[in-house]
Amino acid sequence: MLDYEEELKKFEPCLDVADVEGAIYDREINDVMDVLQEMLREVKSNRRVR
Amino acid sequence: MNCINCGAFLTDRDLDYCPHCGANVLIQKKVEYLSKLYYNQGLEKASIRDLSGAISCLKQSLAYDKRNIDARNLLGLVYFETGEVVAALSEWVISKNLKKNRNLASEYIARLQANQNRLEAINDSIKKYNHALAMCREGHEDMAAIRLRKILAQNPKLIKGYHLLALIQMKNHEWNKARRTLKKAARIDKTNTTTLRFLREIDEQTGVTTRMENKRKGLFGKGNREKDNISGELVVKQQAYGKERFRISLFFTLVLGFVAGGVAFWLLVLPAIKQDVYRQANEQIIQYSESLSSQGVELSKAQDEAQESGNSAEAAAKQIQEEQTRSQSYEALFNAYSYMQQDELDSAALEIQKVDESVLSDSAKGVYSTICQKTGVSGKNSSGSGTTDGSEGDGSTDSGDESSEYDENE
Repeated sequence: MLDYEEELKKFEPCLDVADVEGAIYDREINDVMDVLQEMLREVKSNRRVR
Repeated sequence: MNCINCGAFLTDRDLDYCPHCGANVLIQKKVEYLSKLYYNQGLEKASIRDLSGAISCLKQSLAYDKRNIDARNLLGLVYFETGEVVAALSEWVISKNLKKNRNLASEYIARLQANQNRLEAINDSIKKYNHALAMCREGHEDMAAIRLRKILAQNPKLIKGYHLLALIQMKNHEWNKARRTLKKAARIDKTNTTTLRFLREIDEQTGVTTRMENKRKGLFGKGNREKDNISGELVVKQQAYGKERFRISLFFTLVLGFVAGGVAFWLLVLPAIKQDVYRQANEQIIQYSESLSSQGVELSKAQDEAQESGNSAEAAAKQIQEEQTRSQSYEALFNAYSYMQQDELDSAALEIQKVDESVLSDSAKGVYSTICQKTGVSGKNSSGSGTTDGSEGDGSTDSGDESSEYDENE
């Protein structure tokens, strides 16, 4: 049996069109390539430190 | 594709290393391959309206390669289809920034901006949805349900709206209404987890399994109906080859509809029309027969009148003839009397022979008999036998003969 109150808590307000800009800035758009590049950068920096 | 290490453009895709810096690019290639693989899966799922699955795949594709423009544009499109306009616009704006030229996202944004009314309507429906959600949280479910119905009429793609409305209906134990609401949501996104979860709850509560088949296909799609519960891959398969079958079955359904309409017309409407025509014809026949009989009566009446007038004309002619006879008789009597006064008995005898005794009055008859006695000649009888008196006639004849003899003797 579904719990109405619990289910209602899962619903969240929708963003309206005016909030598009904020939504875009808040987006995390890193991908695996970024992670790999970060790792490469770290590896290179470690080498320099040694 | 550019080298992850030095950024040089990799022209030869078969090489596993960068010809410029010598860095190993095998992982980079595999990542790109995975991104495209997920994009293809997302595209396939979106094409069969498995929008939740498509969103998952496309997000995965972008997690591997954020520059996969096709995946991002498609993700925006899928978001837009589920009523998530802000998420869609976000994806398209990011896509447009990543690739400025020859990008479908620019077209999508331009189209959306060109139709300001629609954009405003969508935005308005989103605001109302948020308000309805707030009302639900405050305990005004009835008001929220009314508002949600209006919102869904305004923006029928807002899946969240269907879910919230279904939740309210489930709370009020309106299971069938909730099922119908969720079916509408399932038509937009067939594999949405919330939709499926709510439907399962309704199935458990009512003991009736929700069927999601399309009614238009139902006539010929018995094979598809067997297990078309909205869970599992069967729905997806049904959609995969459903488009072609849909057209054929639609055509046959239309034809059958026309045939059924024709039969119904033949059985229901046509007898009524025929009866009406027969009734009108009978009425006309009755009218004609009535007019015919009245004309016959008039004709016989006219014939009677004509006959009567003919009889009267005959009687008038007869009367005229009698009057002529009478006047002639009187004229002859008058002449005979005149001759008798002048002692011209022969002329009087000739004239008295012209008199018809039957037409004379009593006083005239007296004169007539006097002349007859003097001349010895009688007039015509009413029987028409104009005769002379036998003995007297003979006498006159004799006298005539005598006179003739006398003349001859002289």
